[in-house]
Amino acid sequence: MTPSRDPPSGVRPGVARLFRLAVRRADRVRADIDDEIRLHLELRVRQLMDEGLSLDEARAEAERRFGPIDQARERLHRSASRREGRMRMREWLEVVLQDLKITLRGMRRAPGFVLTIVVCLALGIGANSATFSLVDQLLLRPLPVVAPDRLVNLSAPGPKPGRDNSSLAGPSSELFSYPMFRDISRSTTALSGVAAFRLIPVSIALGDRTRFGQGAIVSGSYFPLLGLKPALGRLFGPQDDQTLGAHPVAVLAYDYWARELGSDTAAVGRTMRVNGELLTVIGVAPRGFGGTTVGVRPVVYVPLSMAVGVDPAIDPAHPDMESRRYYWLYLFARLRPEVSLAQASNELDRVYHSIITEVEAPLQSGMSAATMARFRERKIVVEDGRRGQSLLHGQTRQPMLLLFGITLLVTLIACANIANLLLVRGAARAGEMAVRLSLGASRRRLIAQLLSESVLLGLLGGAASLLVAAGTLRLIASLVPTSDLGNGATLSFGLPPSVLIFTAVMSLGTSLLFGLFPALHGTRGDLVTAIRASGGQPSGARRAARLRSGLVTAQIALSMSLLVAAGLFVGSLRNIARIDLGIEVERLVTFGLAPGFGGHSHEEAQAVFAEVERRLGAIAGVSGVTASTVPLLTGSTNGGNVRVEGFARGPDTDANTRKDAVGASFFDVMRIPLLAGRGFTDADRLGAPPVAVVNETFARKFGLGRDAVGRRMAFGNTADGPLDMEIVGLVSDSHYSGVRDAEPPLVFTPYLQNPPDALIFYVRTARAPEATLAAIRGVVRSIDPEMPLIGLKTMPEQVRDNVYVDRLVGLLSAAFAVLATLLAAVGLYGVLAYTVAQRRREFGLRMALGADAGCVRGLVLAQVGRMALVGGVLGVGGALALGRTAQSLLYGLDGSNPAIYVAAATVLGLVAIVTGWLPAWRASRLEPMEALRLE
Amino acid sequence: MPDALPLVKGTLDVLVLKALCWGPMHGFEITRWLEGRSGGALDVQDSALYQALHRLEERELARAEWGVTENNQRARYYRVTKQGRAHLAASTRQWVRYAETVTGILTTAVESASP
Repeated sequence: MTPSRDPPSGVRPGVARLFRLAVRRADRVRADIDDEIRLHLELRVRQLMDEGLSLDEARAEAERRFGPIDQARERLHRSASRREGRMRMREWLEVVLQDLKITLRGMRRAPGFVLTIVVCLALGIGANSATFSLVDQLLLRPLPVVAPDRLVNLSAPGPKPGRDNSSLAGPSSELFSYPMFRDISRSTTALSGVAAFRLIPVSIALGDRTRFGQGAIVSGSYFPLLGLKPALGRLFGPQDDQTLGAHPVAVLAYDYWARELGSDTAAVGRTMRVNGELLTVIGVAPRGFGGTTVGVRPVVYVPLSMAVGVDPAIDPAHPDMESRRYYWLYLFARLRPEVSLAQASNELDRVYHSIITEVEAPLQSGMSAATMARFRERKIVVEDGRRGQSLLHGQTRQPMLLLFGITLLVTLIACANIANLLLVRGAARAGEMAVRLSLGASRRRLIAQLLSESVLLGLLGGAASLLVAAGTLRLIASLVPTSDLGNGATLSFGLPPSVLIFTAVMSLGTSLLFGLFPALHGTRGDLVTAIRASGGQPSGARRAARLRSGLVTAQIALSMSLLVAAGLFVGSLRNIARIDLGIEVERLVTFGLAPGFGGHSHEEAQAVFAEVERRLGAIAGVSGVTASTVPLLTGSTNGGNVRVEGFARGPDTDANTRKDAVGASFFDVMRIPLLAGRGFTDADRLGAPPVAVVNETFARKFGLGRDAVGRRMAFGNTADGPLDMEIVGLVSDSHYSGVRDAEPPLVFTPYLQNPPDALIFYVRTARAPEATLAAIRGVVRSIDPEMPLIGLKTMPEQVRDNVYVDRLVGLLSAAFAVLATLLAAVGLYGVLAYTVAQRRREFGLRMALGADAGCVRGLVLAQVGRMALVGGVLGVGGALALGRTAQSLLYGLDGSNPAIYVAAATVLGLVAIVTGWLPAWRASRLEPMEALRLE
Repeated sequence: MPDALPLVKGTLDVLVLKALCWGPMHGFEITRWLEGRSGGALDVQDSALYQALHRLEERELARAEWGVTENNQRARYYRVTKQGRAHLAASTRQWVRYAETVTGILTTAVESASP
């Protein structure tokens, strides 16, 4: 028996699939099954009746043999649609693979084209991924803890009479006192817990090695509230935070444990000295957890109950941990399930208000009525805490988003280039596409194929961009100092999964962006007629030409904006470099020692300081050595209120000054001019009458004028009291905590009158300071080989580190602007070269009719001029907007500084002329007859 | 009907392929062929055959096309593909070897079991 067949059945399945003939819809599949079953039963009944059964008997028997009919049908439907699904998937894969094969074949034939696109994309996306890595880590990424979205940060802005001590975890408005922490944790029902912490510099002596780093003092609720599991041993619980001074234990950070102890599981139970205090290691924090403050990765965690002794800011002789006027703890909490942030905020506000008015207000003295009113009105602020607490969130938000925006624009420029290249290629392939369309290939299919090419290019570019991103991040890493002495931040500059995902999304997104229009345009409906009408030259090309020059104009506009932005940031950086710091930083080397925090007693530390100073002075080429307790130009600061002879101080008078305890020859070595009186000598030590030197701003603020020398003063929060210090000298103003900050009022005291546990040294050298660095290491090692040298660097380096955000923005924006301009130049060149090739016939005709070479050159350059002019004007608009947003980042420069706009326009104009010259020259060299014969 | 033999798993697919070696058939024809060849000794529900056909189609061992029977009824005809023939040959070889081995063991085992 030969079945006669439906027409499609004669076609080979592969071909049928290729033309999407075999794919059946789901209801069709079911109907076919039903037909098949019906036929089967019908034939079976006929067979059984032939064997002698009655119709009813035959029907019953047929169904019995088939099996339970409904169930069987259901099963067959299922298996059929499963089969259809799998076959469709296989078919789809085959199509994709085929497209890919065609694409790859095409790419192999045009390696230059592929390389250009991949390089453009790699540069654009790579720069973008690098800045995204920073944005992600500084502004987006939640803490690696259980349900970070249920964490909230607490803060309490308003007057804080008394002492405060903030760190990179946040501004002083976010600080709380220890008693307030305990009151709040006790009275809340909306929170499942409140945790407190504080970041401190630590010196860890473990075995015979001492390391310096950042540590965290944390409440017993800290780890349970974050929901962390230890990598080893156990973490703190409430039991480690019961009695002050009674829990000498510590938890190590995973990184420290792995690096310093080689992940030794016997670490638990070992003892170590943290800032001189003997503690027992009870566990290791989980891998990947680096504290709750972006930019600071603590190496060790110590219970809050051990703050006295471990925290260098608390004087063990007068511990003010229990004081309600000492603000030093950062608080965060976890919302109870079902409690909203607003509900928690309401409840906390009630609790806080009653503590303020009933407990704290009566404790205040010497407060004016106005300040007291503001004090009583203080509110607690509850905010989303999923990212933890860090000053960097606020500080880096604008510069990082700006850099990210700049790289996005660079990527856009790269995309415009690629779209242009694809359009040109599309024009070259117009014939091929027209043939395929007229042969019956569906437009969708051709678009899919062109897009698959774009996607492949995008993925190649994305993969290559990872190299660019890694390189850019390495550059950024070299600009960001680690926060050993206050400047900088401890960040990671790798490519975490989030950045890889971002890169993948960018690759796909950009490939659609640059590929979609060329694909639509290259397969447009009128392509066939267009080609036929123009005898091989597609006439719809005019639209493409307009689009091409539009894209280049946009590139020029974006480059203009980026050049102006870069000019502004570089100008601002130059202004910063020109700031007169009031101290001479050239040929000055600095480092810190903290012998009193580990390994040495307070008295031994003084001997170490004296010996270090003596031996440093003996190094060849060293002309002076001095020291201070506050590391200069690192963002660190120390200060307080003063009483000054002749200065009337009311309850609300600002009597605040910065202070620094310094060595004998400080003003000489730092080259700070002495205006009156004397500097310190070795005689100004413990036991001698207390003396001070003030700067000009101090003298002005406290009404001393030029007659500061001889007046008396004292540190203290109260308006009345003895004036126990004599001002013996007046010096010029100098910069203190930050390069960009104005010179503050400043009091210097001799550190020998208040011996410290840690000191920052400054060494003035006659030779290149780099040569002295090794000698300094040798000196310190010879005194105590285990004493860590903190932040050894030249002073100019320290100055650069202090303005690292400005440097980062300035250097990166300049690099990105150069990149953008280069990409735009490539785009401009490409379009011009293509236009010249296209207009050969026209140029030839013109020249045959008597136009000279200059005239033809002029035609091409006029096109350049039009695009540059329109692009430039649009770019100025964009730049003005950019300049306004960036104003707060600029130092001593207006965002609309005309000189910079002119400079940017000049650069862009030169680039346009240089880029346009070659195609213009080529156009003018055409042989008229040859050009005319071409077509 | 004589005692029905339960089907060893996977055998039905091979049997269907064997049937299709004779030429394109629709489902009922295959059923009849199997019944004829086994003398009705195989215990298999008719619906199981269609499942087997789906499996074969998916593995591209068989291919289906709509056609018309001699009585002008629309029917789905199955034919064995090249891969199907290869699969059948391999399965047959394997089956024969398996049967010989098992038979050999079973028959000699009885003799050596009684010393």
